[in-house]
Amino acid sequence: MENKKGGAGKLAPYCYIAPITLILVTFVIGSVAVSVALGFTKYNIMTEPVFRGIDNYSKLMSDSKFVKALKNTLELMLLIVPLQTVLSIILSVFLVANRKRFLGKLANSMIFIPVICSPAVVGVVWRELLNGKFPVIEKFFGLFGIEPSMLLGDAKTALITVGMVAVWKWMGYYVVIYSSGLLGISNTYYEAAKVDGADRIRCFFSVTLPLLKPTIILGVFLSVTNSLQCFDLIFNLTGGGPNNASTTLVVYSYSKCFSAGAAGYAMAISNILFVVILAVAMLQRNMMRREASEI
Amino acid sequence: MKRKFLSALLMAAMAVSLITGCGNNGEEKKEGSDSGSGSGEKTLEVWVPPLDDDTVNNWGGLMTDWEEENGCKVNITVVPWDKYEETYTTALNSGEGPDVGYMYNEMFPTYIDAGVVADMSEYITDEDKSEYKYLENGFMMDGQYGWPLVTGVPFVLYYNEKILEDLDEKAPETWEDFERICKAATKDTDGDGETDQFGYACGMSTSDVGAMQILNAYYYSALWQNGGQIYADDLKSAAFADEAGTEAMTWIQNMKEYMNPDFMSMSWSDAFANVFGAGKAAFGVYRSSQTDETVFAETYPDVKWDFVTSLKNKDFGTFGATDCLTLMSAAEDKELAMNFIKHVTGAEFMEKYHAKCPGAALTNSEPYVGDAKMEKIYTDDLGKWHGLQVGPCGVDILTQLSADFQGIMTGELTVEEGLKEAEDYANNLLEEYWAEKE
Amino acid sequence: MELVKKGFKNVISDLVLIGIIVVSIFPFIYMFLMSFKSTINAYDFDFSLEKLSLGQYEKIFQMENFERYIFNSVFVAVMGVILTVAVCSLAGYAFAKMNFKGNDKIFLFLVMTMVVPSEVIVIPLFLITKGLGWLNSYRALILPLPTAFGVFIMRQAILDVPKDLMDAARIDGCGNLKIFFKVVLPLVKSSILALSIFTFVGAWNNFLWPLVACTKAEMKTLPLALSMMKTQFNTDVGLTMACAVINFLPPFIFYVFMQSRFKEGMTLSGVKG
Repeated sequence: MENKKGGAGKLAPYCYIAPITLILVTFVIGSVAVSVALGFTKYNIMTEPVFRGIDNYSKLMSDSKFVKALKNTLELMLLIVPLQTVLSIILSVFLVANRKRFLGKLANSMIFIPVICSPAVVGVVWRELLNGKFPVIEKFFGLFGIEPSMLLGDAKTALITVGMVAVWKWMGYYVVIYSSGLLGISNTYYEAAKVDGADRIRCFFSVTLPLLKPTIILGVFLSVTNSLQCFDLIFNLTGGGPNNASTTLVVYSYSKCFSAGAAGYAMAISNILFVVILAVAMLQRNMMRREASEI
Repeated sequence: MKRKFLSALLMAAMAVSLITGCGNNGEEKKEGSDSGSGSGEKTLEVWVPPLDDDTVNNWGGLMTDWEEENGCKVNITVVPWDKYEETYTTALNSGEGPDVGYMYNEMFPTYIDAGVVADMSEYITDEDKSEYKYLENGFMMDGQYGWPLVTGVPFVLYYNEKILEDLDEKAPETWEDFERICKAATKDTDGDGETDQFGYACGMSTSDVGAMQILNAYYYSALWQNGGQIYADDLKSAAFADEAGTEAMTWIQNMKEYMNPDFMSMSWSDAFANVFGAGKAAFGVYRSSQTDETVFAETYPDVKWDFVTSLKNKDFGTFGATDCLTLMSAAEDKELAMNFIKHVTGAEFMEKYHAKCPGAALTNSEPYVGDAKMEKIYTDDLGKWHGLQVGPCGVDILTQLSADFQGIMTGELTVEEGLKEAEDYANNLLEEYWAEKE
Repeated sequence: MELVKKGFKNVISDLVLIGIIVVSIFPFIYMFLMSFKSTINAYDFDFSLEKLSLGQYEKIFQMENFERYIFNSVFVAVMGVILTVAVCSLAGYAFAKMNFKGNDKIFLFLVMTMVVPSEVIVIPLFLITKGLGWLNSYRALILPLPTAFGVFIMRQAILDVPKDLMDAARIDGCGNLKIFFKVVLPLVKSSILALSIFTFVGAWNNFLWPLVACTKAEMKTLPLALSMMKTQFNTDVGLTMACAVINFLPPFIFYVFMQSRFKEGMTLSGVKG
């Protein structure tokens, strides 16, 4: 679309993207750059950083807590992403189908409420609920043979519990995304399928899912990046314990940064985290990409 | 065309400058409130955590006389416990720190090393030494870096009088007593086949309370009662994995069978409220001042309680923090700051403050105002509780120890494995630290 | 028969919907109820409505400078929303509808910034902000708010705007900017709504960054101010919950308000097949 007239027009797009680019480059890229630089130092924030070469990184290689945190981070991601995606798609389909009814509209609004609440508060509230020995909660969990107050304290279940709470909290967010996708699918596709004799389930798998693919790619991308960044939730549910069973790279980096005066080391950890997230995101994108216009 | 795009540029620029223009508010204020910048009234910036419900008013309200006397305005800023160190490190980095600060023992090493807290030794008179009871607790790493403000609230062992009575037992004094009572108390009281009464109410989650607290509540008492300690006397290596330390850790691990099964999920305070407070345990650990007569009466009306300051195995010992006021190196008028510190911990101020918000008396002149039951903590039992050794890399070492402690208690690690990991970690850190000092 | 089947289906749907609602909000009911209790510890919680008191709320509202903290939070959040919507929609417009060199590459580059978690860049961000001399200013709190996610949403939405409409406006003599305001923006209202809500919630719940960026008491935001009430060892869950409720209400009100203004609700247009 030729809409340029002379030199001035050529610059116009750049002016449009300038503000956000400036902001992102200054604050985000800038921070990453500083983080990379500090990763080579010993720094306690209060005094000047001291250059230490690749000391931090070599220490990381033999740091068992780092390895544990890395493992937990990936585990958490593998736990959250599929569950979140599948559950939100199902819920979205259901909610979109019921969107004209009062209860449907209400549910649509209510499901977003956990997203509004701050992650720290969600962590505290869930911790109190699970540990509080409330008869309602105990009975409910009892149906599945689980004792709620044992969940956060057991190394095997702590991370899973964190994942579940995270899925619960962000459900509304992904429902918005997937609902939007569903609403964008034109009815003509469904009508054509019905003419061909497809029933509801066939429709879902043959019409809905393929057409939803770009949305799913976006949703999974977001889910992956978000799950790798869980922080406040973990801190308030388990504190990273027991014995670092629910410590992820973000939690580990943070604890090193402020409470152990080893900010340089913390930066090194976060730098590796950036690389991990980037790698996973690119992997996911390549694996799922079919259409060029989406992420 | 050109005009249109220029107007776009203008709009964007306007929007951005509008936003940035709003920032001036904060900056102008910054210029005007440097303490002691010589223009008229002096100000003293004091940072304290929430000491009570309304620290600014409770403290600030008592300051007017001192402020008049010294021609100085005291600005009290309450620093939330949530992300406490984050506030300090960043503020000190940008030079926006206070004149008088507040730190707890574990924090000190990092800040002493960074040189941001000043040694107060030169300001201490002999009078001070005899008047301020806990001054020694603020002496660490070869300097008086802390001036005790909040202390005298050790973790003590509460027991349920009724349960002990039913078992025909008196207050425990030794580890054997404790074990015996725990064992007898852990049973099924309502006949449904499930144990619902426990010997020892414990909570070893670190969420919300931080890694140090589980050591404070459960570990140090066992370690010290068995004659162990965290650092070796020269502070160059870890001592908690020696024979005494290993025995102590093993003992705690053995107590596991008398604890509530979900002890790993809750924090120590939740466990106390939920298990001991509900009358379901013979023993529970809590700090001594928080559960005075009135609180217990309101929250746990059905529990008849008493407490033992400390058990004894080879020795007595339980953890009592000493949080201190600090003189920050960046303070301009150090004399004034010291004056403030001494005044605020002195009898005159504290008597009035403690009347509103109870706490331990810091000076010999101040009478004891508090729950009568607890008074022995400051008299007969004074030697049974104390703070931590302050040593290098404290928080780092203790955080690792705390994690390994959790690992031992969940059974993930054996006592030897857990202690070895913590010890190796500590020794590596200390080696590096002392090497750099030379 | 059909009618019975439909009725039955409706009942099942209703049950499921109610289930969704309950699961979504029951922890908040807990939070809400606890905030009215003045207990030191949480475990005598029951759904009984006795012993309810506004004591915790009184304590909170009596906090000095309370209005200032609320103002700060509201100001930062609202300005953040305006800034984010402005810069992200402008950029989204350019990426979606304008041909220029580096369109795809720059866009991808910006999107990659989404992988950076905010907690771990706090110190670098602090150092940068200090270097710019912006500590203790509203600038520092507002400017880092826009994210690449906003650009992504707006671009997606604008991609969907039919070329014909834009061409028609161009024939009428409108320049790019006018098209943006008159044609594009109205069509992507629901995405703007979604972006506003996400941004508001994010800005409002920010704790660590305002804490670190501002040391002056008058610059504090509400979450910080509320945490000043928590003493070290008294786990007064009632107070914590009251603080949580107060912090929760403004974004909630914003959400309800915005939802009611936009009939179609929050959807991201363009996120489709």
